Amino acid sequence: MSLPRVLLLLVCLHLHAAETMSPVEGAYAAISQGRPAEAVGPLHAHARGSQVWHRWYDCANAAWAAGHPGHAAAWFLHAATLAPAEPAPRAALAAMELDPPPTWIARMGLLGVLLRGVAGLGLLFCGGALLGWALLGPRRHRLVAAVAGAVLLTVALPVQIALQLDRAHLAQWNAVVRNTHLLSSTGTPTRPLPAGTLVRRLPREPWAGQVLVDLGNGRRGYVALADLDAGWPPEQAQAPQTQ
Amino acid sequence: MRILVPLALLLGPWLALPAADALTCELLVPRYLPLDHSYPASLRVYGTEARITRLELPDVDKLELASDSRIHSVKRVNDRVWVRSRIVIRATDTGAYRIPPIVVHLADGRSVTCEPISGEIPEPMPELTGAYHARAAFDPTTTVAGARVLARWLLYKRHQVEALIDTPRRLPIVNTGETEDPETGVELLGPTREDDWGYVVGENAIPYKVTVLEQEVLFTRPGTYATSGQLDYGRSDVFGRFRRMGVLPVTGDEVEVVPLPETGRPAGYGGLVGEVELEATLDKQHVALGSGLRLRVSVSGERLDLLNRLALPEFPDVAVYPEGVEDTRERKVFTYDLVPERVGEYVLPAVSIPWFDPRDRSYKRATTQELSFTVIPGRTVARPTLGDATSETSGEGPDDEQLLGLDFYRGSGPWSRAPVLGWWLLIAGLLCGGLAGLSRLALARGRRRDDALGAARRDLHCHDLARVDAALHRLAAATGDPALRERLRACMQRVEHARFGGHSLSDPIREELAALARELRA
Repeated sequence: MSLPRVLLLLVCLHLHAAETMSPVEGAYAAISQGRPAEAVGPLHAHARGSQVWHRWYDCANAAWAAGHPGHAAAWFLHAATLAPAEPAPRAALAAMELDPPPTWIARMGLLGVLLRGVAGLGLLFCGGALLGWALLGPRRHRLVAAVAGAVLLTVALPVQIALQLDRAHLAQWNAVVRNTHLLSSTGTPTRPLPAGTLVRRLPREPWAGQVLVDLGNGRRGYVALADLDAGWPPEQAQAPQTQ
Repeated sequence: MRILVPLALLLGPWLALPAADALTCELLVPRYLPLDHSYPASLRVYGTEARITRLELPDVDKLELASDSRIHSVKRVNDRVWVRSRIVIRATDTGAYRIPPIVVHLADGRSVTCEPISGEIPEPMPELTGAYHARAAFDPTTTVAGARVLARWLLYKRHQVEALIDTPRRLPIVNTGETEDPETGVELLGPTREDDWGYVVGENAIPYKVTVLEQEVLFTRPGTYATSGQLDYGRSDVFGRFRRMGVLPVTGDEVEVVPLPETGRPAGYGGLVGEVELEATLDKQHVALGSGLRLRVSVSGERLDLLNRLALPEFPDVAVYPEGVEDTRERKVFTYDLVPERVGEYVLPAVSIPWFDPRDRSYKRATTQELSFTVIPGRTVARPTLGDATSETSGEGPDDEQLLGLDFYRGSGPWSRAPVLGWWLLIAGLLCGGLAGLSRLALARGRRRDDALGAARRDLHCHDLARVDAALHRLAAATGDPALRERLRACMQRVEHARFGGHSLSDPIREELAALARELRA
């Protein structure tokens, strides 16, 4: 088979795939028909294993509409971890009356807003190129290139470092997916934790299926690892509560 | 002992299965039996090699049955084994016949009963003369537009005449009222079927074998339709090719197709003719508020291409979203997503479709059963406050206040950079800048060398012999051509001779230097 035919076949297959309604499109159709509960599963399957933040965002949005605040918070948090510079997941967490974890990029204000996207990447590239020119280029322009590169990197590097730190910082945070309790080291419940509460995992080894967390206000305690597992479907989906 | 009983219960049916379904009996009798002729019908008992010892032949009206015990054989094909015997059947009167079940006794002590068989002993047909005869017939001969009709070609071949008939792939059926396109209003359903119907008695009590070509037809327009034509008969040669020996004309037949009656036509009638079967199913009986359920309405019948949409009745408090249609020739399934809007018991009204019955020429209505389902309250929606970790179930589903009101990105959200991408771009910039700087350096160095050689070339024309000598040295060192280098060195010796001898350059040397300068420029 010749190359043009193969390309034509690939184009036809692509068009066919585009025409065919995928389960994800069916999930969005279910949302538009007021059936968000049926959309959560396909959207989660679509987002699972993906690094695309807005897939997790849509999944979390559907989970919230379907009445799963714990999973919604966990997935909004995951979307924020994947894209620390995006304001939408943090805004969604705020709309859920949760305090999003503090981030460096949010503290940078206008500089962070301006340089969190392609502009910041362009500055990084240009600054690097100027420094490279200064190191290996003609002697006559070295000083100018070095100064210009240093200026650009001085502006762009803090945003880059902030993003890196935020991602590592947000990865420590989890959401409690179901109503549970904060436990003491002896396993005694000390404080109720509603589904959706954001907790920061402390770098300790899990013990007896529990992990040490910080509620963000200095209060620490243990939470069952299963209560932080945002997998789908949840246990309660298999045994729905009825009146 | 405790194990043996359930084991026997489990394995017993499985072990008994081969024996249970092994013995079956079949009597091969054609649909038509010839009057006053004996027909040797084959009797087969499948699943055994035991000899048939006795047949319990019943008394049958219009038939005489006799067992032919001389015929007995065992056959095995593809692990299927059967024993065969013969029953000679003689028809004594015309009309319908029915052979009741025949009990067959085998040598191994078992017995098996054959299924009853019905057929017909046709009246003698004195018009059957010669070796072949063919005629066409419609069944029924009067119908309405849209109803299914059988077009038949009946081929009669005298017994023991060895010839083949080249059967057509489709029967020619034409609208007699149309001259431009004779097939207007004719819709053939499926291919032509060929079947052997048995024997009928012709002239001089000679049996004729009856072969039938059947074609199902749908006449979509009122009018008169006819079928006729001819058939080729012949033999096959040694290569298997058909060799025509003659042409057999087919006596034609006509069918009258009348329009559907206006009186009694129900509102919303879509043109369906023939019995329609409707079935409606729900995928769930219980559903939580905020979820949906799926309604499937399956329609079976003829000419379903006329049915493009269903007129659903009003479903109170249920939002209906058409989902799609699965379409096959005999069946159409309409799927709807139903989203209930309140908690409680629902009873969906029946769905109905009007259709026309061509047998009693009246309109009827196919109706589904009523469907019911229950909607239970939705799951926890409101966030519990601190201090109350028990889940709360809301009586109603998520209302607008509880939804975040955020838009979905639907798979095409804004791109967001991964932090690692910035580091990679910084490194890429360093490399690109360094490479660009190195390239710039190399270019400058080459340009400087070209400039030096150009200056040396120009010095060949000056009167200062020291500069000419130095230029020749630089050019000889720079050139890669050995012949040119030899010429430059020869000039060099002569220039140094003149320089150190204190006299000027001669004209031939000047000309040689000018020639060298031109070549170097080139």
